[in-house]
Formats: sequence, structure tokens, C-alpha cells
Amino acid sequence: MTQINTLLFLLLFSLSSLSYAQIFYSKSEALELAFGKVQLENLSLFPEEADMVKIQQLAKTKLESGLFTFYVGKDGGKILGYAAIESENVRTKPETVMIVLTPEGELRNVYLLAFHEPPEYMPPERWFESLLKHPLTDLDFSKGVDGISGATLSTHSALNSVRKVMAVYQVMVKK
Amino acid sequence: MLKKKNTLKLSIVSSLILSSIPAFALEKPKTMEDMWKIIEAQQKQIEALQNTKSLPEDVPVKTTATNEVKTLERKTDVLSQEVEKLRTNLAIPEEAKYKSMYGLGPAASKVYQVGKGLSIGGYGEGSYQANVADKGNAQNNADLERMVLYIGYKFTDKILLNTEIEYEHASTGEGTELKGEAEVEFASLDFFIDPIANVRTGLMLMPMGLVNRIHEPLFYFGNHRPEVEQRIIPSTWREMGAGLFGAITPNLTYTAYVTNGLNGVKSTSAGGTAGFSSDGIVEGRGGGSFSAAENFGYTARMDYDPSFVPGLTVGASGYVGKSGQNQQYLGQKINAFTQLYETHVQWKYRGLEFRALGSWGFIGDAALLSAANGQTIGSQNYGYYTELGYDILPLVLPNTTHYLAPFVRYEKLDTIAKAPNGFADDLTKDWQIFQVGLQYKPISNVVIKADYRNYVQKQGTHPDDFNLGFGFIF
Repeated sequence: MTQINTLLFLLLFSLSSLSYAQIFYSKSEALELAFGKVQLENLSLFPEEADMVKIQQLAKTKLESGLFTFYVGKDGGKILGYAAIESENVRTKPETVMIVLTPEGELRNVYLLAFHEPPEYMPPERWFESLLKHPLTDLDFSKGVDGISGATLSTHSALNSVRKVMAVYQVMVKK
Repeated sequence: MLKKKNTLKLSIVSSLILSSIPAFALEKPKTMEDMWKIIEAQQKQIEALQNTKSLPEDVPVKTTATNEVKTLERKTDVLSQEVEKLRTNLAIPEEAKYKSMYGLGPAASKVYQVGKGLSIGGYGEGSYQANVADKGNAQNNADLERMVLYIGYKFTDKILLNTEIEYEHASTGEGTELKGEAEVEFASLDFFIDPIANVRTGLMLMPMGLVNRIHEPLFYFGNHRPEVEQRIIPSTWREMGAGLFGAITPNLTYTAYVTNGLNGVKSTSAGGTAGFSSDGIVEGRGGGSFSAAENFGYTARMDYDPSFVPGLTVGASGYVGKSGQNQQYLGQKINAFTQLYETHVQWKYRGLEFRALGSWGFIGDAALLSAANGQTIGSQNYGYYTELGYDILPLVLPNTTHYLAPFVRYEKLDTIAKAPNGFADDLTKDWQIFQVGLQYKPISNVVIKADYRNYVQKQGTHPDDFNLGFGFIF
């Protein structure tokens, strides 16, 4: 009887307190998190074939589309930074991150916006923090990035997204 | 560089081509693909305009051209923004107000749900096994050990179904062939409540050890799972039940389940449970198939990832529960209180991967169970292993995305660490295994494996083998 009570308690507990754990930020919330309440501009980029080759070499991952969009945060005429939202499938479901670069292209923040795999596979926040300020060449599991036991595929997906965004910046935006 | 802006600004030119600007951007395209086609067509037109810039100067035409290029530029910008909106809406909502409505009604989640309700994935592994020493009667073989389909369904953002349907050894067999199995490895509903406490129910993977929960071939060394994580901690071990999981702090996670208990007693009816044996508790698993639930099992696990050592995880888990399932032998009730504990450490640092795991089991009423099942069932069992691998490829090719790791593993286990009074120990169950191998991943979802295992038994011999195989996950 005690065992049945325990099960009933667990089920009732689950049904009485459901909330939202998988989507952490909407797009507008995320962009506000990145730049505050400032003017935002879309910067649409159309890399040519040669650019795509360069980007893929630098990113070590495939660029899926010939259109890439940065959100540019601006305060007056001054650029505060560049943000991009990227989604990659981890196992069967996507992980969505927002990557924020400084005006000079340095990695400033990586925010996990949504994670649709079971939460056990989710990389911890400190792992995203450990990526910051590393140059693109160091963003590799054999160099400056530590692996996470139990989150191998999700960290690979996130790292691919970060590398892709930094590579696009270097080839298409950097002056 | 800002190549796109430059491209457009350079395209101030004349021409007759402008008279044919299409009106297809006026109607909003339905899909990202439609929109992308339109953008590409517009880009081509802009390029065509650029190519005509050497035409003689003609002021009125130039002005018209400038206006038309501006119109095209504006349309391209609008469409690019729409594409970006569609792309990101597949993963996250545009505004917070829509996010809060998810799960309460289909309207708000309509866009977001596109393609995300049902998800399909899977993994597989196969190998060639050559018995290279102490062969005995063992046959070399080639086996598609597992082909697995993951099917998931997201009912809402807070309720998710995960299933794993597995074919073992490629067939359920015909006639006298060796038979594989088709089985549901797990089918569980997750209710996401809070990072601290979420609920899972259904046929669940028991949260013990390193391999049982994450058993895809990409994530362990060698073609076969460590023997300790098959014989001392059964894998794949799954039971029916319910439980909680979550993160107490970002570095400290836990899982706690209540499930049907193991069934240690061998059934006398044909096709019944095999129960515990001298090979351990593995055949006492219920597996969700009319599992005996007269007794429940209680499992808990904790893992800690200390911030001061990046990549390190330490953890422990335990299972307790009676395995008698209200059965008797010679008029005596069998309680068979079963305990299994394990502790593990795992460290990934740069190319280094290290694992160590130890597990200890205790079985009550072992003498009674041994008599009932007709073989010696250890009142105690134990096993441990340690392994080390290193991705050497970046040392040779710094920019490679491939992975090549040699590894070594040592295992020690004994399923009859202590025989019950009146029953003899079986020293053929006391093993040491020395293993070396290579793991190659051309991409992170595919692995090619080669390994050699040398078995040392306290008594008798066990075939040593060489294994060559593959694994994948998608």
C-alpha cells in the first residue's frame, strides 16, 4: 500500500505543477539579453562559393544555406555586437543557441535558447562559459574545449554552431 | 567587408532588363524554400544589372534603374528577414507571450510545432568476432548486434515521449536458427516540471553505471560493452515504474525511480523467467513483459561535475528491493533482498578519456535461491574496470575533425564472490580481462572499432577474441 501511495504521489505531483523547461528564451527575450533594449538590424549575408569554402574550412562544419543572418545591436550609430541564432539536431531533436560576438568578432556570450532532448544530455551553463574569448582556432575538443561526459553530441552540436558563426564573421564581416 | 551591401551599391546601372522585374514578392511565400527561391532569383537580377554597368550613360534610365535596384534591395531584405523568422521559429518562438501559451492550445504553437512533433533517430552496431586463442568450441562469427530505432513524440513542450525499439542479432529467427530479439528497450514519458524535479514514467532505463543509460556505440570503447556492465550491472536493464530526475545545483544531478523489482526465482513453466544464476542477476530483469511486481525496486543515483576540474564527473548509484516476488520454495517464502551499489568516475580532458567503475552486489536468501534455481547463486558479487583512451590524431593533423583513439581497459569481476553455505563456488565465474583497441570516428556520428580481449579465468579457459566492427547514430 505504501508503494502504491508513493506512485500516486509522484503522478499527482507531476500533474499539479507542470511548467516550461525546454524553451528558455523567446527570440525577442534572447536579443534583449544580448544587447539590452537597443536598435536591432538584420544583416543578411550571401556568401559566394569561394566564401563558403573558406567558412567551411574555418568552421570545420558544413554551411547549410547560402543565406546567413546576423542581428546587429546598435546604440546610435555604434555597433554593440553581432548575434546569430543557430539550431542543430543533437540526436533526434534540436538544440538552439544564440552566439553573440563583440564588434571585433570575439566570442562574448553563448546562450542556450532551447533544448529538446532529455535534460540529462544538456550541456551545463559553465561549459558554454568556458568557450568565451577563445579564438576560433582554439575552439576544438583537442585544444581549448573540454568535453562533457554524457553530453557528447550536444556539446559537439553547440561547438559546431559557435565555430560556424565565428567563421562567417571572419570571412564576411571582418574588415 | 560587408559584401552584400557593397554588391548592391555597385549595382547602379541602366537597362531594359528592369522592365521585367517580377511581382512575385508581393504575395508572401508559404515556405522557407519558396522564399529562398525568390531571394536567389532577385540576387541573379541584381548581378545581371551589375553586368550591364558598362552601357552608355543615360540619366533618365539610370534614375529608373537606381529606383528599381532599391526596390529589389528592399524586397531582398524583407524576404531575408522572413526566412530568418521562419528558420528560428522552428526552434524558438518570436515573442515571449507565445512561449507561455505552449502546451495550452494548438493555435499558439502552430508554427513552432512544424516538423517537431514526431522525431525519428536510431543507432546500430555490428562486428566480426574471431576467437584467436583458447578457442574451444567457440565459432568465429559476424553479427549485426543491434539495430535500433528511436521514436520520440513531443505532445507539448512539457510532455515528451521517448522510445527505443531494438532488433538484436538482425532477426527473430526461423526454425532452428540462432534467434535474436525484437524488443522495446525503453518507452517513457517525461513531464518537465522544473530543473530541480521532473517526472518520468513508463519502461525506463535503470540509472545505474555508465553504459546502461548511454549505450550507443559511439560512447564506449571496444565492440562490446564492458563485461562488468553486463554481468554485475545488467545492460540493457530497464523496468516499469516512475520516478524523479533533475539538477539540485547546476553541478549536481540526481535520478530516483520506483520500479517493479527483479525476479530472482527461476520459473518452472516453459518460457518463464530464468531468474538469478551463477552468471549474476542479469536474467532477473523484468523488461516490461508481464514483469512480476509483487515486490518493488528502488533506485537512486547522483552525479557531480566539479567546476574546479573541467570534464570530470563522479557519481554513485544504488538499487535495493526484494527479488522473491512473493514466491516460495519447499514451503519457504523467498525474500531474496537484493542490493546493488556502484560508483564511477569519468574524465574527459582535451583528447583524454578516462573511466573507472566499481560495483558490489548482495543477494539475500542466496542458499534458498540456489536450491530453487539448481545452481550456485553468489550471496555477493562484484566487478570493476578502468579504461583510458587518447585521441592522437590532432597531434599529427592539427586541423583534423577526425578522431583516432587507442585505448586500454582492465576488468575484474566475480559473479560468485561469496557462495552461500552448502554450495560450492564456481571459479570459472571469476574473470580478469585485458583489452586493447582502436576507435576511429571520421565524423562524430560514425565509429569504426577494432579491439583484442584476453580473458583470464581462475579456473578453465575462455576464448580470447579479436573484434572488428562499426557503429553509428543518427
